[in-house]
Amino acid sequence: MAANPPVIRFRDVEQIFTGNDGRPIHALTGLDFEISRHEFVSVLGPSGCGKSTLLRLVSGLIHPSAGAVEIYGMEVTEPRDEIGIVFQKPTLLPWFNVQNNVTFPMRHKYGRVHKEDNERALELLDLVGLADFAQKRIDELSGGMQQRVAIARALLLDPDILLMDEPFSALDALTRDEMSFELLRIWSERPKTVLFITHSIPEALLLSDRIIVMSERPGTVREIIDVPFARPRTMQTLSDPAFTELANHIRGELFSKPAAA
Amino acid sequence: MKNIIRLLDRFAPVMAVVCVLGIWQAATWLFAIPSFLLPSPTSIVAAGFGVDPSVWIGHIWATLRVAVMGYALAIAIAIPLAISLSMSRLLSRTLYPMLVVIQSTPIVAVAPIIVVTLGAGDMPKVVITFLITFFPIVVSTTTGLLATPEELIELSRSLRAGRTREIFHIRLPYALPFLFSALKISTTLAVIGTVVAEFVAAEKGLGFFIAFSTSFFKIPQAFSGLVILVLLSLTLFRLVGFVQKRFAPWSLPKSER
Ligand SMILES: Nc1ncnc2c1ncn2[C@@H]1O[C@H](COP(=O)(O)OP(=O)(O)OP(=O)(O)O)[C@@H](O)[C@H]1O
Ligand SMILES: [Mg+2]
Repeated sequence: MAANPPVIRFRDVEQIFTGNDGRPIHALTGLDFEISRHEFVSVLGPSGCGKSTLLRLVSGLIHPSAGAVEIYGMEVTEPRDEIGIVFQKPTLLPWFNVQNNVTFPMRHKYGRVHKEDNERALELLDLVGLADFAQKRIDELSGGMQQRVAIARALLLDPDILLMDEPFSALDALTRDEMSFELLRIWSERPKTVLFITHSIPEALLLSDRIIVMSERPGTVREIIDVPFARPRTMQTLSDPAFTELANHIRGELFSKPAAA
Repeated sequence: MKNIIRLLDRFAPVMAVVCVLGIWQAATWLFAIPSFLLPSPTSIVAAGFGVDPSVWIGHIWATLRVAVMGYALAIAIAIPLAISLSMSRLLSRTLYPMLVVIQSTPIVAVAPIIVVTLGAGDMPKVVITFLITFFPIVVSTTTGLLATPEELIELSRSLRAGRTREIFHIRLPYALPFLFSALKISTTLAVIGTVVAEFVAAEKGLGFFIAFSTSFFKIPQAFSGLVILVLLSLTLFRLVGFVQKRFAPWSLPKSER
């Protein structure tokens, strides 16, 4: 383990944007942490603390103002193939059916879809529980089903790293719980290094190996919490007293103001 | 009972038209409205049948030809222009004001100038039709191209798919609902443009036919030309709607699929 470089590494990362009025917006500061192979790490933090920005840094869509983001020990300078992204909204293409949405990354990146890609898409649809929906139109699916399609799409190019930006926050509470357990199942069948952004403390606790709790803007790591619950996690995990205790601890962390320097 | 209601619902538009025509016919007859003020529907139909079919076909063909050419030219220029406008801030900042100026100029007022500049033939008429048609297509398409969800663009960038694929695989299809609504509006505009051009200078076409009939006080005949024009407009409009339904049904609201 020690011999391998971490999968994702933030080295004293700082992110400053220029606002519309030309004034600098200090989004992230002093981010310094590592994520190892097949770890499931959640990021929790108040709105606007730079969680999505953190994700964009990993995906190579933006570059840090200072410090460096590394994947497998190499600095991220542009988007890389080993990353799959799932967004808050499923953002599927309404002119394609479900299967063609899943194969879209192939068509988009390489210009054509092979027979194997279609087979792979069907496999992935089976994995996310939509085996019978391959030929359906997008508007025939519920929100939860659409997000499953988006997950299958993100897995098409078999990424090592899965970045998820509040993927379930647009879903109703019941569907959301269901999707959390689905994601756990998918992750145990196809282990990946996952960076998962959420606003939900229970969701983070249920899913993660570790939780990065962030402070308000400029966002920085306030605490990294090791989640002790054994896997596989189930409904019982949710009713564990330690679960509630940890949730309360994190809630306190999130709502307390930073200590005066 | 249910069937009757369904039939009523189905034929309501037709019945409304029939009613209006009936009232119109009755009014012209009751109040003895002279036909140069408002001809009765029957006299319009009679006047229409009084014109030789080959003459009709000649005029319809002349108008249709120019309208379709102007329309096609507008599409051919508007879509690439919209793509460039959506891609480059500099272009949109320099070209957009110019487009707005062109759009704000009353084409009817410019038409005679264009005819003088470009001479006889289809050319000036096509240009006038083009000018009146292309602006809504540019604006709608540009809006559509820029309305693509940010996440999809990020997905595209994260795949390093390139700008061309981003436009053709994501942005253009996303702009189709916008494009089609502009294309529908533009069918009507294309017919208007052609008629305006024919008023100014033509020896054929439905616009010319109406102007010519009016100048000889053949008002019912002018009205019959108008009816044909309306039918032409409607047909083109429906044709675009058909193309959309056939080739891009997803771009229609659910109720219209
Ligand atoms: N491209 C950009 N240009 C300017 N400012 C930006 C840009 N991207 C993000 N910001 C700013 O950086 C800060 C962090 O944004 P970010 O979207 O990462 O927050 P977030 O934690 O994801 O918020 P939320 O929980 O609401 O999704 C915000 O104040 C935002 O306005
Ligand atoms: Mg965000």
